[in-house]
Amino acid sequence: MAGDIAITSSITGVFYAIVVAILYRTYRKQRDFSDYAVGGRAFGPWYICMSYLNSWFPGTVWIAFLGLGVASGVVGLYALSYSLIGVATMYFMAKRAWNWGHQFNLRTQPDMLGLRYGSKTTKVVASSIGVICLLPWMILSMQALGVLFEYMTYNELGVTAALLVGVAVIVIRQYWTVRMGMRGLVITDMFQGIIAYIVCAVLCVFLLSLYFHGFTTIRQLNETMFTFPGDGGIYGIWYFPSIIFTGIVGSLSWPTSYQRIYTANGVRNVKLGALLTMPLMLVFYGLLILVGMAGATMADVAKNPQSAWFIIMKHAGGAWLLGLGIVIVFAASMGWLDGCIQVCGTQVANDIVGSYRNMTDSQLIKLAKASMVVFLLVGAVLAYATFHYDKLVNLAIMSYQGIVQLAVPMFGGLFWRRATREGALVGMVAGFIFAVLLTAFYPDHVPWLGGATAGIPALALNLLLFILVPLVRPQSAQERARVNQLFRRGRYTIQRQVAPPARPVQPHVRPEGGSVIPSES
Amino acid sequence: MTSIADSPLGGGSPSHGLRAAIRRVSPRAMTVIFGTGYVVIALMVLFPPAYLAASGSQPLVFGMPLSIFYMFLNAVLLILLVTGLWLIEGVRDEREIHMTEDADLHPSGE
Repeated sequence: MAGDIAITSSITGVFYAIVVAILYRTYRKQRDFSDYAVGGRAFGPWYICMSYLNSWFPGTVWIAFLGLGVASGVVGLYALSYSLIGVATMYFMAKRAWNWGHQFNLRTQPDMLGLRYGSKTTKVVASSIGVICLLPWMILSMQALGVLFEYMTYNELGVTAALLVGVAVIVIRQYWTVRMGMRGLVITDMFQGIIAYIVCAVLCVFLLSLYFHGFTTIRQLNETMFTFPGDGGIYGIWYFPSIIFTGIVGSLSWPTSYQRIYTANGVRNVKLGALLTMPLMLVFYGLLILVGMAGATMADVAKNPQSAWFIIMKHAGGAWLLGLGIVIVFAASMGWLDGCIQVCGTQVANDIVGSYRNMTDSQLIKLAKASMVVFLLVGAVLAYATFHYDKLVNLAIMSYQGIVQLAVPMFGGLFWRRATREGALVGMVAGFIFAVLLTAFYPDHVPWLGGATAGIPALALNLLLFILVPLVRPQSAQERARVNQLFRRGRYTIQRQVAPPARPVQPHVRPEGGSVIPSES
Repeated sequence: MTSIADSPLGGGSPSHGLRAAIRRVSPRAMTVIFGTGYVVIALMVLFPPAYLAASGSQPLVFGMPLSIFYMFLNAVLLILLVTGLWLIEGVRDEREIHMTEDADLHPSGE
């Protein structure tokens, strides 16, 4: 046993040391706040791809999502559909989102909303919703690290001690996130992404072909493992479309995912990054769920679906394979948590405090760093305090139904010129409150809505208000001219290649009230 | 002479003709074509009669239970659609590259 623990711990330790070495080797002092918040918009397509994957597939994919595949079969593939459609959507919106980001020095998703609607309030509300909704997921991810360390030590460490070690490891890692900002994050995402998604995909190929003998094992499963929700069972006909649709919308509503667009050094690289992400998602996630389904034929996996990954690893390859399996989950968890903490700190500084106080780049960096430390410590304390609080998962579900409400003002604002700040604000707030309240009563699905999840009627309300309010109170002529100019700027195509900017584009006029009016250039 | 590596759709006169035809398609028609493809693929998993028709394990397709094949088919079709769009944007010179404050700005005509 001690030998096995030494193997799993050593593999994890080596991985952690490589991450820290990469961070030390690539450290560079930030030139300004944009350098800190979006890595100076300097990254190519492979970095965008890996960074997006890290922001999208946290460690819980190997626990909760794989568990769903084990317990419910083909339903587990729903996340593949929504993830891919979400990335395709990122491809379609890349041009306008990146161009605005570059031209107006946007660093966060709420920054874009603030620009589009010329509204400080919209920006602050969107940013607050983002930060609040990320908190329960961050706590769950920290707690998942505790579970990971429990497996690493073959349950010798005990639940509480494993949690404390897990939280301590991630807190120490954040020293470099705070110090280096987005740049360190994206660079390490490349290494973490290779381990978490590419090595995992290769491992799944071997497991499926050599350990589970292709589809032979999967074909032995009960027929219910191959039926979609709505084809019998407890769920209504709209449950499956609801969870996929909410996932699609959520894929770009999470500030952690959206901000990756701004780290690219051009629209081309956002698009190519999205394109590279898609086959990787298909291979990695598709194979992982197939491994889970094949694993469902094993008695101890079927009894404990959430632990499927670790049980399969241990059975298939002993301590060495378990060690590799743990590192894969650890890499994904770390990548996601780093991004979460970085984005929350940046949003607090840039969108919330920065909306009310004029600050220099140096002050913004200091404030973002301080916010990250506070957010991290709050998360660590809550992860420990709520470890046995089973309603935390409900809070996470609630936050998902809440965060998707950002999608209406975001997508609507990107593509509909007549959208107004009042419509965006009223719809977003009403949708968020309605989603949270409805989820409190119906955390899984709403039976009297054909099994739809709570986020769907809330999105409908949000969209209705978003469209109705501008009809009742249209834009002023001045606001219409501003938005028209903004849309013209979003359409520009750059015809020649030049070096990346040595300094960021200066923010355009930010008059009182927070409206960002593009200056003539 | 145009090499295959230079062109996303290969060299030679047939592809020159194809490239010219692709360039002639209006931006609005491009949006309609790829937008329709995107919506149809999304409806494969969002419209209950579509995916429920593929519910269950039988018949096997390439040794795969039907519902699993359906979900993978949906994913592959979407990847092909976006790859096609990427290639066509290359032919139409619509892939933006680096941008600076002093870069020339030209309306893309979208």
